[in-house]
Amino acid sequence: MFFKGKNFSAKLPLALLFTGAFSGKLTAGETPLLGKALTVNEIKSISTTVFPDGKGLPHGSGTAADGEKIYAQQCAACHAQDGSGGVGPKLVSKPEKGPYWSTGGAWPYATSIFDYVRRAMPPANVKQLSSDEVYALTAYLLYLNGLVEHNQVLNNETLALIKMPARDYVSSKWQKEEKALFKKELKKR
Amino acid sequence: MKKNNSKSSGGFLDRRSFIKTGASLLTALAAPSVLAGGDKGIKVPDAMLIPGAFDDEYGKPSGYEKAVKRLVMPNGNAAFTPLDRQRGIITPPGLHFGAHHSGIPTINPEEHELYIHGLTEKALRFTLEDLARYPHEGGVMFLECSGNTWLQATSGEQAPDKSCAELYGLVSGSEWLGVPVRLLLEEAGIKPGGKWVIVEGSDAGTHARSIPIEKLLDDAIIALYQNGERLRPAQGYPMRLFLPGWEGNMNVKWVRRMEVVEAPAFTKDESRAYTETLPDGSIEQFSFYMGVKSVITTPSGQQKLPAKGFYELNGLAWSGFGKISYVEVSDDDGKTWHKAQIHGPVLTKSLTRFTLPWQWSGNIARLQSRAVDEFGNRQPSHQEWKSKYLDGSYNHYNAIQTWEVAKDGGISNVF
Ligand code: HEC
Repeated sequence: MFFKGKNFSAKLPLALLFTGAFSGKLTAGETPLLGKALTVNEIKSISTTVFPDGKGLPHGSGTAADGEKIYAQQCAACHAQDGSGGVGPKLVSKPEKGPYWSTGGAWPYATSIFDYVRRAMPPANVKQLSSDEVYALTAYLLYLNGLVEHNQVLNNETLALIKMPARDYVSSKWQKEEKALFKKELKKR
Repeated sequence: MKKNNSKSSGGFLDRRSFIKTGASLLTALAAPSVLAGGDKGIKVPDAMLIPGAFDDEYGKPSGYEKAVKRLVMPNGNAAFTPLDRQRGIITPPGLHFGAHHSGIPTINPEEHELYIHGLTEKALRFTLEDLARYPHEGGVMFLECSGNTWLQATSGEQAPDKSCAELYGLVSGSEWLGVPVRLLLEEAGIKPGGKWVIVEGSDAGTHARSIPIEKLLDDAIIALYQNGERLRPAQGYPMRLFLPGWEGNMNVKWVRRMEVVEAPAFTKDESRAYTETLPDGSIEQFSFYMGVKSVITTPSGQQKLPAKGFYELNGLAWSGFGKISYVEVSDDDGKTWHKAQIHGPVLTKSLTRFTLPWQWSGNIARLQSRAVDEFGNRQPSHQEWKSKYLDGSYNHYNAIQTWEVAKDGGISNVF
């Protein structure tokens, strides 16, 4: 049995069929529906993204004082002990902009630092830091940027409260312009 | 077409007069040349005498084409497509550009799954075998790193002495086919409030980007095939997200997880590396579309014209918004412009080939191309582009390229 009305080649000019981004009229009802359910624990184990409101942050805590030592061993070789950068990008700087931006100067949310260090750093030994260690390293980077005290405790409640300077000077091009262009694009098709 | 008869650099002839001059030239050249050694006839080449070789299971380019290869950055993070040695809108998979942040993982397709969860009615897992049974969509489309041509943006007054491949090689064209993301999201069922999707790869750095759900419900695919074969490891084997017309970095390779959420996560690459800095020093994030762009690929930077006379200018144009409407070419630094010949198929969000016959008089010439897409988007001049961003901001560069032909035929990149 064939699904009715989906004979594109009979209905559409050939040129349309060859357009990239051809938006067909198929729906999920015309697919084999092979997705299998994930269990609660499976979902938990893959949900590793940390969001600006703190959602996704694990239990644990750390201070810049703790982080300083871990940073010296695991990060300084590439980012320098003061965060001024080397093989890896600059994590700390004050007035510089553009390509000279640092993590501290450009990132609008401190939660993103936790998220990224936990998934991707150090490059040769990723995903091996404990939650306490990632909190401590995040605290140390924020301390180097003058955003927390040396002994300030960061955890799943306090990290999202840190206000990064970039919050005052970032904007979204998607919201400002591109969303409207996207609607225009859909209308034209 | 406007005639460019005032230019000493040579110029573009209208087609009728080209055919006429062409014909008289042909007559002149067709006269037999009497060689010093007398008229000996033409020798039968070896290939016509010796039986040929067996075919391979997986074919390779001719051994004489070894120079056609990518330029790979010493740290392995980027490989540039040799645009200046290619023709056409399809890049062979082995020459497709690469841009990587944590190397190229080796993935056994039998151990790889795609997960969809978050604000969905059902949380689902799909194997490659599952996805292979779904309807496939897609088409011939370009993919471009948002950092492509960054050297033009970061150089000061002096244009860098670079080839077309070094400046423009982070764009390629392929037929990308795969499962519409729309179908998979429908199967999972999007809950109210689901507006963005965090899409994550299975590389060591576990690259992640926040994607507006409307794009995923439109023309996005989980690509399984590139130019007729399964993806190469460097392109995301066994599956990658493909977002037609949007910046390369969002086309998450080795895709493993899609989490439907209310708002973006502000991942590492959307916090700094793939943002732009505006003239007032503020940072613009979430700039997704790749703007309209074009470049003359031959003749181009660091090539040399052997003699004055006829050349076909060859180039590529593309736009992340849709189809290319027309391309204009100049040989006098933009004083006069001439419509280039567009060669079909003209596809949406695809490389589009253009050419124009050109006569080089032997004087200094400045070759440029400028493309316009179906939405009327145009390429800015280098100065106009620079004025839109703070000095040093380098992503999404799409200004008009200028190649200068010197009197000795040498071609260089100039502003
Ligand atoms: C072997 C060198 C190396 C080591 C060791 C290393 N990094 Fe990195 N780091 C890098 C590189 C390279 C990048 C850029 C990655 C990319 O291009 O995607 C980076 C990126 C980062 C970033 C994102 C910067 C930005 O603004 O985009 C942060 C934050 C960071 N590293 C923190 C750390 C921390 C914390 C440690 C120690 C646990 C660490 N790094 C260890 C090389 C290193």
